[in-house]
Amino acid sequence: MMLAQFRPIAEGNYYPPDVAGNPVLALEYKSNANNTLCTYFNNKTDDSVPGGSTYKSYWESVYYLLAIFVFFRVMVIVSLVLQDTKFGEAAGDTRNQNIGQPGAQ
Amino acid sequence: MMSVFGGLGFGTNLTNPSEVQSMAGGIYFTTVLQMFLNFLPTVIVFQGEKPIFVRERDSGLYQIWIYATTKLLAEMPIMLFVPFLLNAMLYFVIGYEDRLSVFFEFYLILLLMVQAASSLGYFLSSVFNHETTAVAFSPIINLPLNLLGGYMINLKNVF
Repeated sequence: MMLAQFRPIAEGNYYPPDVAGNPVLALEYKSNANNTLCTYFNNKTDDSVPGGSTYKSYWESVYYLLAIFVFFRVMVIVSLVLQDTKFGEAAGDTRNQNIGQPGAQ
Repeated sequence: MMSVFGGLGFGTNLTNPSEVQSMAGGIYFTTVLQMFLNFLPTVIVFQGEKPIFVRERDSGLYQIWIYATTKLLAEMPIMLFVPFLLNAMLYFVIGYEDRLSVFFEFYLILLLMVQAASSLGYFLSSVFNHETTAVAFSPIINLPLNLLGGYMINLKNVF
């Protein structure tokens, strides 16, 4: 299969100007196995990019996604705990009020 | 089905410079597809289970963290398999690098996106008591996240 990937045009300089001095697309499309898509995104954390880049490195992205995953899972539990005391009143559910009482079926 | 649709759309095994846009679109499509496929269904899950949950909590059958954790564990196999299937169907069709390590790096990102999206969906589902409210609110959360994710806008030009 033909290898297809993005790679930076030049190391540390992702927006080289063209002959007219205008910035060109930061991607060079090559069939070159030495540089990978992931390498491209890893290199995009370089602050030397004019205007700055907001791409994160691969493992930084992994950590952010893990943090979001754990945060919202914990927030689900917190949300349910905070609502827990209101459940009976909000639902108007009195069917279980006799649980544990003498004569309950 | 969405994988087949994506494969038909991007399945050109991109080999020339004019298709850089398609490559970037393929990355965006794959990740956002995974996010929406797992976010939207979970937004309306808890409202349906709530009456049962309330009764079981009133009966003291289990604690809340046990309910949330077992629900996560029960869904884990399908959430591991679905992104793998989508990645296996789309990765080589689109024409990313055919190295197994890169394939699994991409799969890890998709997997974590699925987990993060479903967690956000469950959170919204637990916060809102009605499905319509949760569904109406979800784009208000989703679209700004898409916009400010760093793909469409360079955030250093915004903040």
